[in-house]
Amino acid sequence: MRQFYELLVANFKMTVRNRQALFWLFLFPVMMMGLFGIAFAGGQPEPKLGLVDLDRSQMSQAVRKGFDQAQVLDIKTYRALGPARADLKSGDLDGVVVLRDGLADTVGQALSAGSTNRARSAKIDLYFDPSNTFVSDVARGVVAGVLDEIDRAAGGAPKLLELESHSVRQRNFRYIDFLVPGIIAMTLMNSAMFGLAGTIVNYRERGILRRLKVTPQPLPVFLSAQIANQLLFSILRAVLLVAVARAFFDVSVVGSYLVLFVVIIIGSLCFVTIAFTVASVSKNREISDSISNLITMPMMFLGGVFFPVESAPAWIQPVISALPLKYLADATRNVMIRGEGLEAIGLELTVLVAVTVVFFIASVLMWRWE
Amino acid sequence: MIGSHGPRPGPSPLEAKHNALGSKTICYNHGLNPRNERFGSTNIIEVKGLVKQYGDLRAVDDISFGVADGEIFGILGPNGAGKTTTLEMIEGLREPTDGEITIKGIPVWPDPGLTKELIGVQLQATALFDYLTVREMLSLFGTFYSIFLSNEEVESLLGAVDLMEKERAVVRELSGGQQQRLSIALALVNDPQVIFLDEPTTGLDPQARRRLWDVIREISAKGKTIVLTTHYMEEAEVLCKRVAIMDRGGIIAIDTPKKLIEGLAAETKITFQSSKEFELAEFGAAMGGLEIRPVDDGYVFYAQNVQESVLSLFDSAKRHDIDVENLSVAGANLEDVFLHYTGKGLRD
Repeated sequence: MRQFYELLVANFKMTVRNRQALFWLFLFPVMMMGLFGIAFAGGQPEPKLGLVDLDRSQMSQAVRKGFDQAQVLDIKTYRALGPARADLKSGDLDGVVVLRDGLADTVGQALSAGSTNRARSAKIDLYFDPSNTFVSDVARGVVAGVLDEIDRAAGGAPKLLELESHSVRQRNFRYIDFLVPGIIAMTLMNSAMFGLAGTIVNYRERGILRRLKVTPQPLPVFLSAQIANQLLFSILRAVLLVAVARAFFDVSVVGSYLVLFVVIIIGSLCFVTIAFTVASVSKNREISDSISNLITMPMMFLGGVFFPVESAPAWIQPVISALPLKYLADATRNVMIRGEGLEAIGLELTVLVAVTVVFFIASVLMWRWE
Repeated sequence: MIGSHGPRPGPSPLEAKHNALGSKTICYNHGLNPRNERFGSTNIIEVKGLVKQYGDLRAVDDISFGVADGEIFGILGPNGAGKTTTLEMIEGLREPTDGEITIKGIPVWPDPGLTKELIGVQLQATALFDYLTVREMLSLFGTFYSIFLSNEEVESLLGAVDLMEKERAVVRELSGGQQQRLSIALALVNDPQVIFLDEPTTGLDPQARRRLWDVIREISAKGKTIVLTTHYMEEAEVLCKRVAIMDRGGIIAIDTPKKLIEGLAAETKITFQSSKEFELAEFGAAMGGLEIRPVDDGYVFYAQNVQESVLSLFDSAKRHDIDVENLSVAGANLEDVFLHYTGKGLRD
């Protein structure tokens, strides 16, 4: 145990004294988060609206068509109010438009009653969070516009459709909220794939592993200390990223820190085993870096670090669902910004553990001293 | 696998080895030499019939030797002779294809773990952690042997390799010679009985090399057995009590440097240059059967009677109408021993 401790201390010192390593470990992720956070701070995506058609009549179809034609809106249709409200609350939607049951009847009566009966105009409900000013303004404006359009098309001077607003408290996600967990997940991958794999290959190239082999020091103790050092710095970096995000971008961790800790450890271990496998198949540092690039590049852009994977085209979705980073990013995000517990991210953690086991076995089988 | 030889016809494997070597080895340790006899009884390392095969290549071809307790034993040879492979099989890094190795009577193979505590190793690559200080390196390597070094112990190790003033320096700031000395200090942390140094002075400037020689001598003076490889013949001559000369995987001679040189039966080396081509064999015959060899910058032959040989050289040259320039007469060294047995230079 003391040997392990001494090795860990030595590894810690080596990491701290290596300025280049420190840059990649800490400064680079913070810079990346800062740059992306600032660059995309204003650029909100178009509002996403849920449309609940409870009437299911020809009339309500016409209204839905009107919304479909308004191209500034991203519309998702629901058949019941419940799921739509849930998505609104969780922040997946920016507003929900409800076409009440009986809409067609009300409109029909209003039309037959003629222009004198103004009180009979049909109510359209809009649920949104007024604190989310940008989205709610756009959503309200667009919905009102669409309804006016429908009114005009009906050729009536009387107002057939009237908007009734309901405010709902929802969690507002900004891009930075989305980004921070993604960056944390990405750094767990990159520091293992470049830092750890490179170090092991370097140790092999320089004969340090062989030097170790002529001492009684067991290899597993030596490597465990490397891994422990890796985990330690993963945690430190996550703490730093969260602290900077909190101080400069007002991002807070909604979920439990303990669950986040578990996710970071499991995610880190997953990429540690992949890194060991890469180190085992690589003859030298150039090769290990190339393989690491080949592995990390697609994951960085398809793993849901910088943008939601749902917005990627359907044909590439199977590829995305094969990327370990996607599961790590999802798990981190669900804990950090949705406040989910362990059971809610069970699938993601299971996938990560499975990948870890597979690559652990692979790296043990392929291990090379020289 | 090792040690489970099938039945062999004829003499025992060991006898066969002696015979085979006897035919091409001078002064091999047959027990004839009283000094070697004394060493022979307390050999700390015994190597018998060692073979390492890589595919078609026989990197080490059936070698046997013993290293006496407390001596500095050198393995001299050109690059690719099999020196490092031999050393690494004794250190427990490379499993032999055949043969037996014991250190203090304990077989190294199949479980090198048994002898690890007895040995200290310095590999050809210095194998140090760039970002640790000299002191931290020593402490860390101590823990590999479950030894937790005190300050005094660290200082004494640094003293042994002449690195006291660098205790707090980071490894990457050390010079090549200092790194090499640290690497030797690391080989000493477990107070081993045998220390293996693989080409300890390769790549060092002459001054750093001499400094390292002093360090090696001092370690030897403390009673440690040292086995080193080198391709510098003067290093073997200056440091080693006994030298094994290796070429193409085999040991071609093994003895004290002095005896090896004496064994040439010609202690003087005569070199000269000539602007004219001539038939070597014919010329040598004219000089009374001397063997003249071409070397990089002229011709060389060995003689016991310098005066007679030089006069004979000029006499024959005159008769063959050959000019003789840059004549030099020098004492033979291990380089000449190597040339004698292999017909080529150490650094060819």
